[in-house]
This record gives sequence, structure tokens and C-alpha cells, in this order.
Amino acid sequence: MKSKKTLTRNAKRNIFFGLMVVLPLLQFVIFYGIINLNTIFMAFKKYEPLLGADVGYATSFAGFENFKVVIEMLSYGENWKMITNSLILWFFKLVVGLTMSILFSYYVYKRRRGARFFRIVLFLPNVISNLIMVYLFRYLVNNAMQTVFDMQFGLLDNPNTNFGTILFFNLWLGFASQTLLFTSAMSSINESIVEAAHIDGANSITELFHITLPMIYPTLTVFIVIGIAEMFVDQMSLITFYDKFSILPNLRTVGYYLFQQAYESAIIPTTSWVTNHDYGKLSYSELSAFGVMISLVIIPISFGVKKFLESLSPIGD
Amino acid sequence: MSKTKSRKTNLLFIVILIILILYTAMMFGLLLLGINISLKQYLDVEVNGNIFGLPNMDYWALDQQYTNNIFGNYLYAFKNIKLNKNNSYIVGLFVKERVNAPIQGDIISCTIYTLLYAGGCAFFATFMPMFMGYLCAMYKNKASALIYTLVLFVIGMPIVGAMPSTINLMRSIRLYDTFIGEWIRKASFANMYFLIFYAFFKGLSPDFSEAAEIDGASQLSTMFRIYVPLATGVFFTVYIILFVNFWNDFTTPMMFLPSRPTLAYAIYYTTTLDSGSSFNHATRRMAALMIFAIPVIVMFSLFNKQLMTNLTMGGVKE
Repeated sequence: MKSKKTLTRNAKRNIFFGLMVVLPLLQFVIFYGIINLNTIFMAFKKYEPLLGADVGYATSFAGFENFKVVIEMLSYGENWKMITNSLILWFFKLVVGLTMSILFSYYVYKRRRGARFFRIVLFLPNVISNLIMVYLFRYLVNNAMQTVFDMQFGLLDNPNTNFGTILFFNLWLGFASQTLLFTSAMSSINESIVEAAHIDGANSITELFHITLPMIYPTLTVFIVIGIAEMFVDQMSLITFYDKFSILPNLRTVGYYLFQQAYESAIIPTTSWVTNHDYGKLSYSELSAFGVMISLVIIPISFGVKKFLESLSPIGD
Repeated sequence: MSKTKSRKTNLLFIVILIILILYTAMMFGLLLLGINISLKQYLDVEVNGNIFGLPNMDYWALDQQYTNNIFGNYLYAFKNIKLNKNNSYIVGLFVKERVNAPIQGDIISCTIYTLLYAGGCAFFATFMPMFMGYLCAMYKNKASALIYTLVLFVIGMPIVGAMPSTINLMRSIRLYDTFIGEWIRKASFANMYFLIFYAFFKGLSPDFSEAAEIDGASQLSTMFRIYVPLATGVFFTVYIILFVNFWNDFTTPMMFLPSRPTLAYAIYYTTTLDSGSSFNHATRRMAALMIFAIPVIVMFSLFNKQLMTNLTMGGVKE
């Protein structure tokens, strides 16, 4: 009798669960599953305008044609630099950005002078729009510095300094969210472990390397893996630093290029990149092929690094 | 030996403190520079070269439109943040149709669009992970375990270049350029907020549910009358974080809501894309940007204690 009652209760709960998850799962299937599958399909499709019709297009199988166009585009002029720029940005964010945010977090965690105030300051870039920060920074390093130091070009207009300046800006504001999350991870470290280490003669530096870093290792792993995943998505705020006419091709990142092309292009762009290498746009199919190519490279790296970092974990599950 | 160690420790913290001071000085220095510039008449900056000094009221005295009004740029920005642009795209899955949807907006309509976009998207992007987090935490079965694994997989899966496909799909199902379309698109549970809500509900006792069921409560009322109210604090924190993100986001409205420009998009357009705009004067641009920043700064000042205490890995803590 009791088991029958339990069964009824479980059945009711399962039916309720099943009914409730239908819509969220449908949303997931459409906006994650179908969209990503469609990216793969589009990468192998060719779209052509329908003769005599204002709208609509005919599709055919394109084989690897779209992929060939992407490779041609990357080898044209300085376009290949978008890949190296993305890698440089990722490297600096990983080495400099991560190191600085760990040190800042440690400072806040150890509640040193002004820690509470700095915590709020470090959160500000999450609140104030990137649009505002970029414009203020741009005004300072371009207009203001040019006027004050009587320079021929501002730092963003000078080809020797523009990339470094934008890189600095990205590192400067990139600390914010990481710092707060690392501080929270550090706060969850058991106080008794820290106290025991101090009784054994550990100072703050040994505590950082032998207790804090090993204890926040899972969080650190997550950030490194997310960093790899975002390597080719990061636009380096270029969309706000420059308008499309003033950006130099050697400054672009893959993330910026993909966004800018997707914004300006179409299924069948008015001027195709194939016919006009300087002003033409990649079609949506070619952009999809570019996305597929990057994903194919980045997915195994991301999972490989994750596995590798997990195998090095200084703490057990 | 121990004195040397202690000196090294102090030196480390002193170096970090110096960097933090420089960071803060740069952050506030830039904001103060922006406020200061926004209060100047444009000739004061462009002709007089007064970049770092206080506003020279002599220039405002000569201004024909806003004579002696130090907030002239703000009034100008209020009046002139406008978008007027042609826009057309093709929609439909089987039957294709061209839609002409001009991009139009002033500060009032853009503010309404922003509230609909940021408020709506933040709500759905918070509600859905909470809803699914609750279901997966409270209903132990194979499907809930599978959904949990699926979320972990999606979070770690780096997919690049899905934008064209997304635009294509949204246009095909005629949800492109609509708020409902964006709300549905943002109502995804496969993100880190799911894990936060999952952990939160997992930490709650299932006894409430059993007691409520004995008292005759339905599964739905147990969820919304007992458990969801307990998650109000977490919900509110996630909502505020997302609201600020969507408020500041100009790339999504630019791409997916072209004829319903939000404030962020309108300001980005008038200050960056529109080369013939009267906002080419830095003073007016700064004022427009400050108007845009004020609401979220006020919001942050009001709720910063709650945000600061609730923030942890992935966003919030229980």
C-alpha cells in the first residue's frame, strides 16, 4: 500500500517535471541546437538570387567552396593578423590579466588597507558601459594627449602605438569581474587551514602560493578554459574605439571581424568579398564556414586544456 | 630571517596597493574628465584648448542656444539624441517578404525601448535558469541529471560564428526585430546562472515540499509559494546584474532590434557611427554618455551592498 502511494507520488512528480521542462527544452533545441546545426549546414550551402524576384534565393550544395573563400580571405593582405591579434590579446589576458586579478583578489581577501573600497572600484567596469569607458579613454589618449604634449598623432591614430594602447585598455578593464569572483573563491577557504599554516610559520606570500592558489585551483581552471573558449570571440572593444571607416585592417581581431561582417553582410551581400577584396563582405555562408573552422580548432584545445588542468589539480574532488 | 619574510610580504602588499591606487585614480580621473568636459561649451575646448581646466563660463555667456547654462550640453543631448535611418530586411521561412522598418527614435522612445529590452530580457534570463534550477534540484530523476550534464557541456563548449545563423533563423520565424523574439531568445537555462540556482535549491530542505504535499498543495504551488519566495534575494541580485548588462549592451539591439533602438544603440550610433552628427563635439558626446550612465550608477549606488555581499563564483552566492 505504502509502495503504491509512493509510486503514485513519484509518478505525479515525474509528470509535473516532464510538463514543466517541455518549453525550456524547446527553447534550447531551437535557439541552441537548431542555430548551431544551421551554422554547419550554412557553411556548406551556396545561396543565389532568384531570377526576376525581389526576394528569396535558391540554395545548392557548395562543398568546401565557402571554406576556400575564408582561407583566401585570411591570406589576403594583412587579414591574417586578425588571428595573431586574437592570440596576443588572449595571451596577455591570460598572463598579465590573470596574475593581476589574483594579486588584487588576494589583497581584498586579506582585507588590507582600503580593501572594501577597492572591491567597489573593481566592480565599476561591470556597471559603467564599455561605450563610456572607451570614449573617455579614447578622448584622453588621442585628443587630450595630442593637445597637451603637442603630438602629431594621438596614441590611437599612431600605427606604432594603437594596438598596444587598446591592449592596455582591455587589460585594465578586464580585471574587474575576475577579481571579484576570485575574492569570493578565496573567501570560501577554511580559516582553520590558514591559521594552522601561520602557526607553522607561513607568511602571506607562502600562504598565497601554498594555500590560496591550490584552494582556488578549480576556479582558476574555469577561467583559463573560458579564456580559451573566448579567444576568437573577443572584439577587443574595437567596435567602440573606431568606426568601420577608420579602423586599420591590421588592428582587427577575429571576434571583431565576425561581428562587423555579420552586421553589414547578408545571406547574399550586395558586394561580395570574392568580387571586391577591399570593400566586399563575406556572405553568411562564408561567415558560417569561418565559424565552423574556428570551432573545430578551439573545441578540442578547450577540452584538452580542461582535462590537462584537471589532471594537475592539487586538491581532490 | 622572519623579519626579511615579513618585509617581503609588506612589499608585495605595498606594490599591489600602489597599482590599485593608480587603477582607481585612472578610473575616477577619466570619469571626472568626462563630467568636466560635458559641462563646457564646445568652443571652450576646441578653440580655447581648455581640456583639464574648469568650465569657462565666458563661453557659455556667448552661447546662443543655452546662454549662461552650464548644463547646455545635457539639454542639447536630451533634445538631439535621435535616430532616423532607412532599414529593410527579408523575413519568412517558406514565403519570403521584404519588410521596411525605418530606424527611428528620440530619447523618450529609446528609453522606453531600453526598459522593454533590458527589463524583459533580464527577467526571462533570470527566471528560466531559476525555474530549471529548481526542477533539476528538487526532482531527482534521469532526465534532471541529463539536463544538468547538458548545461555543463554547453557552458564549456566554445562555439564561434553562430551570429549569421541566428539572424537567419530569427528572420525566418519572423521574430527578428521584435521584443518578444529577444525575450524568448534570452530565456535560456543553459548558462552559469542555472548552476547558481541549482546549488541554491539543492541547499534547501525537501521537507517543505513533503509537508506542503501532505497539506494538499499542488506541485506548482509548492514551487511558487514556498521555494521561489526563498530565492528572491538571489533572483534579485542576478536580475540587477543582467539588467545592467542589457542596459549597457548596444551590439545585440543593433543586430537584432534595428528598428527599436535602445539608448545604448542610439548613443553609439550618434556618437560613433554617424559622421555627420552634431555630436561630433566631444562636449556634447560626453553629456550624452553621462545621461546614459546616470541610471545605472544610481541603481548601483542603491543596491551595491546587496550586490557586493551576494557576489561569488559565477555571479551570486547562496
